[in-house]
Formats: sequence, C-alpha cells, structure tokens
Amino acid sequence: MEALIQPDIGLSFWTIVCFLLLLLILKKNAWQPLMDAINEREEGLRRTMESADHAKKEAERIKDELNARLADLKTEIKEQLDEARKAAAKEKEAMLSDARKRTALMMDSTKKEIEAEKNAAMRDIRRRISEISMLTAEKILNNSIDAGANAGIAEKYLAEVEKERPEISKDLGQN
Amino acid sequence: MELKEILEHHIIDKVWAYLELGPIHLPISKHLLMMAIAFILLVLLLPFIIRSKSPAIAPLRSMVEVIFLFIRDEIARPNLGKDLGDKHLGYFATLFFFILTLNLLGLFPFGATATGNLAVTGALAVMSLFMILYSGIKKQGFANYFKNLVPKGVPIWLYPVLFPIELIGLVTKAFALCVRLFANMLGGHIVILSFICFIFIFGSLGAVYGFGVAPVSVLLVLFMMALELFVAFLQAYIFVFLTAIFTGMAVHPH
Repeated sequence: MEALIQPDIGLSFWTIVCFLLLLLILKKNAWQPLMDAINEREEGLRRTMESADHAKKEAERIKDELNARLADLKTEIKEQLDEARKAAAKEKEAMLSDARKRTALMMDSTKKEIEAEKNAAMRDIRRRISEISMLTAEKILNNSIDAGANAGIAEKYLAEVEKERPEISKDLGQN
Repeated sequence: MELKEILEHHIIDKVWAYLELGPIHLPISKHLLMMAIAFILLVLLLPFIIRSKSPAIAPLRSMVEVIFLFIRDEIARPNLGKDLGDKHLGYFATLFFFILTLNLLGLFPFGATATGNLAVTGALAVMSLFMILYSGIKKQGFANYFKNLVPKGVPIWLYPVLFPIELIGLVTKAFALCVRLFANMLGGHIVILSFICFIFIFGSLGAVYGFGVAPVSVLLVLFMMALELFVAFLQAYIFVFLTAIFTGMAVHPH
C-alpha cells in the first residue's frame, strides 16, 4: 500500500506533457471556435435586441409625432369652425337687418299706396257726394218751385247731412 | 487473497515497462494508458462536437457549451475579471474536461482512475501552482507579487514571520488541490471495493450468508457508483474553481 503515497515522478512528467499538449490542441481546435461561436451568437442577440429597441423607440417617436399632428389638426379644425360660426352669425345678422330694412321699406311704400288709394277714394266719395247733393238739391229745388212747402224738408236734409259729415258740408260750403 | 492485495490490484498503477532515458525512468503504465485514452477522446471528440452542425450532435454540443459557459461565467470571469478570465478560459476548460474525463474513465469496467494517483494530481496541482505564480507575477511584477503575499496593514516587524507562512500557504494550496482530488477519487473506489468484499467475507462464513449479503452489497455499490459519478463532476469543478480563486487572489491581492 505504500505505493499509494509514493508518487512516481515519471507519471507526473507524462501528466504534464499530456495536459500541455491537450491544452495546446484544444485551445486552437475547440475553445477558440466555441468562443467565437458564442461571441457571435451573443453579438447577434445583442444586435437583435438593439434593433428591436431602436424600432420601438422609432415607433414611439412616430406615435408622438402623429399625436402632435392630431392635436394641431384638432385646434385648426376648431379655429376654422369658430371662424365659420362667426361668419355665419355675421351673415345671419346682415341678412336679418337687410330683411328688416326691406320690410320697412315695403311697409312704407304700402302705407303710402294705401294713403294714396285712400285719398283717391276720398276724392271719389267727395265727388259722388257732391253729385248726389247736387242732384238732391236740384230735386228739392224743383220741389220747392213746385211746392214751396217742401222747402222745410230740404232744409232739414241738409242740416242732417251737415251734422253727420261736417267736412262734406265744409266742402259743400266751398263749392 | 487479502483485502490489501485486492485494493492494491485495483487502485495502484500497474507499470508495464520503463522507458529509460539516461537517469530518467518514464513508466509505461495503466494510468498513462488512461491518460492517453482521455487525450485521444478529448482531442478527437471535442473539436468534432463543437464544429459539427449536425442536429444529431446538437445536444452534445449544447452540453459542452453549457459547461464551457458555466466555467466562463461562474468560474473564470468572477475571479479573474472579463479580460484575464477569457484569456485563461482555455486553461480552465481544458483542466476541467481533462480531470472529468479521467474521473469518468475510472468508472468504466477495466478502467483505472488516473486522478486517483498522487503523481497525476500532483502534476496537475503543480501546473495550477505555476498558473497562480505566473498570473500573479505577470500582473504585479516579481517583487510586488511577493511583497503583496503578506496582507496589507500588517506591522512591519511581522513580515519576517508572515512571509514564510504565506509562502508555505502558497504551496499548501497546491498540495491541498492535489490531495483533495486524489483522496476523493480513491475514497469512492475503496468503499466500492469494500462493499464488494463484504460478499466474500460473509461468503467465507457460509454460502448462504454470501448470497444473503450480495443484494445489499450490490445495491450499496450501485449507490456508491452514482455518488462517484456525481463526485467525478464535483471534483473536476472544485479543482478548476479553486485554481481560479487562487489565481484571482494572486492577480488582485486586496
């Protein structure tokens, strides 16, 4: 059993030779390619993540931009609406005042027409009344010539006419 | 046959011949054969597995990659920093796979555990010691390295006492590495052999006893084999891990 704790230096030499050769060969043929592959993969992963991050940022930027533009558009639309509303109100006001003016004008002309019509009618009536009066007077006169007793009646009629329509009697007075 | 002979037969290296080179005797032995097998296996298989693009090899590739990444991220980089860790990664990875393969080869029938030999573990430990010294001296310079062996803040008159102690500590670390691996690999084998010998010890009392004990022994041996499988990985990891820690301590003294 003593051999167990008496190391054979020759075997140590073999171990060192074996290990160093292994180290040399594996370093070049195994670990370097493995390291490269792992680094490449990690790099690829990092790049993918970076590009994803970039895309996300880009999307966020675009979203912000669109939001800003939307807000701009909203305010613009609001302004335009306000303007349109104001313009419409002004137009309405103008149309209303115009209509009012025109109505007033129409009323005026209508009033004048009515007045003119009325005056004409009055004149006509006056003419007719004077004609009738004349006829009446003529008849009464004829009667009084025929029978002087009827003079009282003519007097009475005339008084009645004068009482009812003083202006006619005035007109009559002028005639 | 005594238990001692059986143990010696199974555990101690069998030297078949000596290669005589003047005063140097180089043994041609079973443990050398196991190392050669490990060497050939690793040199042929690892580059093949790593370079292969075949999906059938992919699981093996992932296994190697997981171990390699573990050595990089859990052993080399935390202890040595990113640059130096990546630089020495080849050493750590080779050391791990070499020890692991030797450990596992010892579990095969007709195999022998080369890591259960003080000469082999001693050589590995000496290389780790050189690794520690080389890294420390390269990083800090020769004089600084040995000056920094003694911790900072120690009164100056203690230096003559502490310096030899730290020097011895340096060697002790390597020696501990050597003995730890050796004893762990050997211990499991001795326990397994003992369990198997139980059968024959009880068998010598009577055949019935031998057959009665055999199932129990076989179960225990099975358990020990599973444990050894675990220990094979664990000890390879510990050897590499401690080498990395000591190298890290040599590189960053405080």
